Amino acid sequence: MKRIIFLLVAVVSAFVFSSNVWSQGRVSLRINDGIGNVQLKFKIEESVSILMSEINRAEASNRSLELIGINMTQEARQQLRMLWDNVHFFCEENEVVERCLQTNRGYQIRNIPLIMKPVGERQDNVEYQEAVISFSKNGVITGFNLTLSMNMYSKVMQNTVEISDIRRRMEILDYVEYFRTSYNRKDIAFLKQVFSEDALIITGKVIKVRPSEVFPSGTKITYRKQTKQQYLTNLANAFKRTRYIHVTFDDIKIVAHPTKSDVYGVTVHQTWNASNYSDEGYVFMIWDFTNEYEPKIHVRTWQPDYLDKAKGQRMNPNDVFTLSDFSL
Amino acid sequence: MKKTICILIYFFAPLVMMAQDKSVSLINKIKLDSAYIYGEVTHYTCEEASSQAREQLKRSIKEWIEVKTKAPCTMTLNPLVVLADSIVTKRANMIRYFSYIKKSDLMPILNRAGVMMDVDKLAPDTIPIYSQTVQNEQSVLKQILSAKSFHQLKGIIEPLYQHGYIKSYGKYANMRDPSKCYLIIYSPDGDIRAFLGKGTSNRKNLITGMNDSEHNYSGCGAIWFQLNY
Repeated sequence: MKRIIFLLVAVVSAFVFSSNVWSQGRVSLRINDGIGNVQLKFKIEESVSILMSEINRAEASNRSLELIGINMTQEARQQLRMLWDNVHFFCEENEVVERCLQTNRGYQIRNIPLIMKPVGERQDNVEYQEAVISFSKNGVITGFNLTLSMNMYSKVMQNTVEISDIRRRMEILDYVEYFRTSYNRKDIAFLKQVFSEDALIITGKVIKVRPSEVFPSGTKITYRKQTKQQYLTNLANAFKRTRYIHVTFDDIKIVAHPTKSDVYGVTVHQTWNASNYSDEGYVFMIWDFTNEYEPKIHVRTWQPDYLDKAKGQRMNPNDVFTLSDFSL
Repeated sequence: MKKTICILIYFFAPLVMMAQDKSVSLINKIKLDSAYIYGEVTHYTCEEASSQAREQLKRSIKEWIEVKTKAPCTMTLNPLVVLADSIVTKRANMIRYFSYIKKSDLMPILNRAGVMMDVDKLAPDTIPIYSQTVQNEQSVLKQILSAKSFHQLKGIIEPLYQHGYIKSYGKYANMRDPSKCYLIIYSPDGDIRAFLGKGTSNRKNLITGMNDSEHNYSGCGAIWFQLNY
């Protein structure tokens, strides 16, 4: 009798356990709002479910992604593969429920939960990130990027009084997300295209000085100018030296240029984590949307977050570069 | 002994996994139910996640009110967010904070836009289990004084009322006999600012023991209650 009970418990538990493990590979997306066309809704749900399930299977088997046959553009496949070369990820939730947002070019599903596992890193060195999947108007996947947080996204979409055009706000956020993910993909080709030929790149660096009235903390920031070519050459070398690069943006602020209608100042707080280096700082960019299908960055500056991290001395946020520091 | 250990592992491991999935299933169920409005954020700390989730919820409520009323929403939303419930789970190295509220709970406030919520219609979602032994005045007061937020009050006052320890309660504007009424003062963010004893012009602050008055809390709301002793 005892043996029968033991066997029964073992079989039932093994069944529950294995069904849990099996179902962890499969992801199902359900859209709860935002799209009236039922057929299109099902198409998008199915595409994302198939894609995320394949991502989970590839991560579990530590293999490359098999994206042929999945309803996505060739460009989206290429971008996703580039990202996969640097970092693997998976979705640990069997069911994801999200709204579908309408964009200028189609639709978006945001907040896809991912567990990131940089290639070559320790298996317990995992991090949480969220992805945004973009779709054309007929439901084909056109992009897979890592997101700004939903809270930041909706804060900018709802509260940005400086930019009255909601469509333009969404466009700017989309490009900032794409720009951020391009570092994670080590996508030099995109970065070469997005920076204008005469782009100005400024990098700040903290140096120690004798404490004085002007520099009471005993530190000051010096600035170094680079051309686009110099910056991209250095970046390409950095990409070659590192196994993975993980860039996150938070605390985004977007301001319209007072006189030039398609020009915007974008400030983000950036955290840069690479296999051999990490830092935190403020990145300020001047984006030009004159050609909204190929916006350009004319200025990119970086300033460190801390003057003295050991003492917890942060840079004054009022010292971060703004549009008024540059004349275009 | 080995067999017993094997049975325990085989039995409890899937149960743990099922418990973790249960919260996620509940979140998804609420998200799929159009009777609810929600805000959700995943962040490094619970404090930041909860603060941002509540901001997200406020924005969702504002959006819903504006669609419902076809007019810009100018009312203060903090008292509405205080009514919200939450589910907290882990996501790898981060905390997921899911804050939600039933639309029907907002309807009384919608009908009186611009006025603080109708506390006479407080209804807890769950009633805490209280001991069946009779409680004296001090122990009842002690329970009420343990509340840190307006949201917590909901789960404390209503059961005490149902068990007959609280005779009546309501909004400050409806208070009839101040000399018999205790007061709970709360800020627009829902934080409890003071518990005041019975009285007319002068009351005793039940936490500090000092003389106090509801007039010292300009900009705050207040609930009165009478005990059945």
